[in-house]
Amino acid sequence: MKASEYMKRMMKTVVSHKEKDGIKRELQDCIDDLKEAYMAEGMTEAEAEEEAIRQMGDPYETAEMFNEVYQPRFEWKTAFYMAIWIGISSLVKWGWIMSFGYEAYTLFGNTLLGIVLLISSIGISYMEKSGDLPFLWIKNSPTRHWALPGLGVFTNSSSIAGLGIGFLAVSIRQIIILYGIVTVLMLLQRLFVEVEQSKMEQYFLYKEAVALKDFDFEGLAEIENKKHRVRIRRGEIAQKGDCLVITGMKGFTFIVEKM
Amino acid sequence: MQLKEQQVYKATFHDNSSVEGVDIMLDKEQKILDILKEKEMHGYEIVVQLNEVSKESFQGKMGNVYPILRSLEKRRLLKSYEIQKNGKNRIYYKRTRKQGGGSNES
Repeated sequence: MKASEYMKRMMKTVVSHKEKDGIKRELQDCIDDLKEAYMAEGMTEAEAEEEAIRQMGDPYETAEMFNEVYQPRFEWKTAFYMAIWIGISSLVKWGWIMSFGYEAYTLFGNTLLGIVLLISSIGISYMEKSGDLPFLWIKNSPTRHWALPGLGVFTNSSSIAGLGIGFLAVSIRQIIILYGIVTVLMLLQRLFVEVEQSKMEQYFLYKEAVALKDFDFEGLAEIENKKHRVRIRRGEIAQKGDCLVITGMKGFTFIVEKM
Repeated sequence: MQLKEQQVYKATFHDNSSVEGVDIMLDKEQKILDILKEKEMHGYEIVVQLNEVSKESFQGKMGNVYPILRSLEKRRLLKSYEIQKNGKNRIYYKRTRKQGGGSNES
């Protein structure tokens, strides 16, 4: 078996969308290193590759083992961050009421602010999850060097939801009920997106796409007689009619490479 | 061994329910943990070391080292971090303070 075939079988069987990239790179490195070692022992390149893959073993078995480790899970840290921010916003609110009186606080528009924050948090949560943004995305984003460490907390949907609940709720009971509802909604939403992404990726991986226009980063391609938005690896250019192959997904956008 | 762990091992073997399978799996995990006792290594280094320590257990199954590493990491027995070395991003694994298996006192 060739290395590319091994990787294909492996990646088609690994379910977790989140871990796919890392697994792919690690295994590819291992194969390359093994191959190099065998070539140093005097094998030809083809022999070395064959032997390396033989040593790696059954890709399906390995992939199933990965699947055991990475099953889709609820993201409990969502609930955790939300709780912290409910605490903080409740304290701020309490301080406000203590110093300016309750009337001043309601004038400030707590209900409206709370509702806006809550609704936007659900939307942002979807955006974060379906766009493959890391949990604290500004902090972890490699392209945003300007971000202060920890700033991601403020842009994280569960923190925003926590703030919303803190501003909206006027009693402990309300806090608990809202916290429960929003947590369940958000956890289900994130799990649903993850499962859908993984399913879609598994189905489309290594399928062919045909570029419908020239593009150098993002463009349209035809996949199974349907138009889809695709992204090509940076530096590569696709021309109209080019045959491309799907090698992964970023969010719900396909990543393609030239055949 | 805890039930939850047992289920993980069970599913990693084709002959599902055998207790022997669980033992083999534990043995493999222990070997990896032992190797990492001395120093931190990346995946391929671990594969090479394993091949030296016990040729038979991973021969022709080297790919399986990686899911075992990930499983150990998930159970917080190992920690991983990435460094760039010779133009390649390598994932290194190191032991945590949490003790797993039976034969390690440190």
